[in-house]
Amino acid sequence: MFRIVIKDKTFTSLEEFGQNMYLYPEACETLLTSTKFLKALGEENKELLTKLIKLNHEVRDVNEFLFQAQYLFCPHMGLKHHTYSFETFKELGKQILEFGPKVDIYLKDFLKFKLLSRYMVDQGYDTRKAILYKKVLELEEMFFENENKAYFLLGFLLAESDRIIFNKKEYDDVETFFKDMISDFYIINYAHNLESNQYIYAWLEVKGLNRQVSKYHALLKTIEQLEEK
Amino acid sequence: MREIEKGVLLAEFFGVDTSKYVPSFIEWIKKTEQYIIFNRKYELLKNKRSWKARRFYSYFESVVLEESETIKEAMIEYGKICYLVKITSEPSYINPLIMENIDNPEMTIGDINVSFDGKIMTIRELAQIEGFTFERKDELIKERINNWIKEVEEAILAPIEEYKTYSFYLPKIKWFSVSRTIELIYLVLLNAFLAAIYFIKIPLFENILSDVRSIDFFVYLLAIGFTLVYDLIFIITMIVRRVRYGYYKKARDGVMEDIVKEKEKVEFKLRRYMYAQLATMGDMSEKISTFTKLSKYYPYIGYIRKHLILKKRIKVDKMNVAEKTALIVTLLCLIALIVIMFI
Repeated sequence: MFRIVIKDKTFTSLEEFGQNMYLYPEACETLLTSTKFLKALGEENKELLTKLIKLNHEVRDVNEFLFQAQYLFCPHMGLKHHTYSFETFKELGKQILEFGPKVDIYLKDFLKFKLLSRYMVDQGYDTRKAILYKKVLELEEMFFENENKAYFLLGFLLAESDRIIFNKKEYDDVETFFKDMISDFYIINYAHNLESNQYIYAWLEVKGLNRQVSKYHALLKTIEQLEEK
Repeated sequence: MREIEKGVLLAEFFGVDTSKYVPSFIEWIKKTEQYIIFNRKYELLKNKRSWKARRFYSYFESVVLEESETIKEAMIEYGKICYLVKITSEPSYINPLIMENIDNPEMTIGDINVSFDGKIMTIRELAQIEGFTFERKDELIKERINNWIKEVEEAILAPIEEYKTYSFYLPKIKWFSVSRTIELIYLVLLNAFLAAIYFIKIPLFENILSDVRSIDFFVYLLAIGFTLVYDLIFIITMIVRRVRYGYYKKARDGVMEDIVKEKEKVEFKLRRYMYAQLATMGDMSEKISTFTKLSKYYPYIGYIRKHLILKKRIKVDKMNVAEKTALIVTLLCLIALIVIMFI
């Protein structure tokens, strides 16, 4: 009988293993490349072994490899990655925003390795019609220019929200938000992270306020250029 | 710029009142190197007279950092400060023909800045840059020299010319008139006569000096006293008149012709030098002080302006009230002395 034991958990089928791989990323990383496992897999399902080896050759990043590998073992399941499990895209979006302004490096993988768009295709999305799929593709492209902004825009897109959650507090009104941000309590942290995490800029874009942001950046750029000696 | 002001500025763009951050931003700006250099250049420009220097000075004056009420306003003023610091240097506003008090006395023609092909470069770089025709470079240099000459005309020639068109155009005024000569002769004779009374031993004079308590002696002393006072008044009057007359004369004596001749000379020299250097892609290393000849005429504008005030005071050379009084008094003393002598 095919049995996989990871830590104190035993999986008796590949499907069950695939469903739970996301919970044990480090252990699975070692397991999936071990000779013992590959030999056992080959005896259990030669076709799967071939696909796994091919995947291992094609994919460089271990997190990307684990994400795709789990769907080899269990093709139809929710979105899962590195201890995160989402039944809907909305849940993923909400999680991204709830973490804000912090960026989760594993949730970033959905754009970085195009895992989300691949998942949509693999799960049978009608990608010719889906607006959401097109937007995800756009954000995957944008990711290479501005990682964090694309990441947070994905959060707003999937959560279907235009409200920002900042340090566990939710804001809808822009002026109220900024009044809080420049208060004595938040200002240092807010100003220090403004450019690096891009969360606020993503929110302002969602709010349709890109024009003001562009004017702001134009002014800053001019001043900074003049400052140069 | 600090991160805080960037963050506050963004908030300001969305309607948040950020006025409480403005004073500390202004204080920070005032400690920046750019601001320190800005103030230094502002002071230097105050005393410069070239067109460009005056234009730059007006730009400096337009910076109103202290009046900023928002971060955006303060930032814009800061941007102005940085910009002006960058573009304002002596090579960018100097007119080599009339520059006074050059900050760097070793500055050469080649160090002057010009704008060419969309870039700021020195005249030396212009002369030596490849890929452009001589004609193109020469056109720019000619234009620049023409502007410098125009500035000379505006800054020096025109004001002098303007003053010369006033209705009381510089008439000839004598420093020392005929009546003044007569007065001088009178004073010399008077002094000589009084000295003769003391030094020449003749009975006529000895009678006056014989008794120090007599009226004769008293009149003699009075005559000496008033004569000395008259001498002093005369000398002071002549000194003052000479000084004023000096200014007046400078303003009057063909100053315009001098300036025009000098201008033509230095213009020719400059054009010839720059043409030759450009043609040979030379290094334009001639010092600016070689050509700064016309700035010495700036004071002439002052002389002429002064003479318009001085002319009223100089006027025709004639005796003033003090002199007239002294003349009458000494004349009376002299008559009294003569009468005493012959009584």
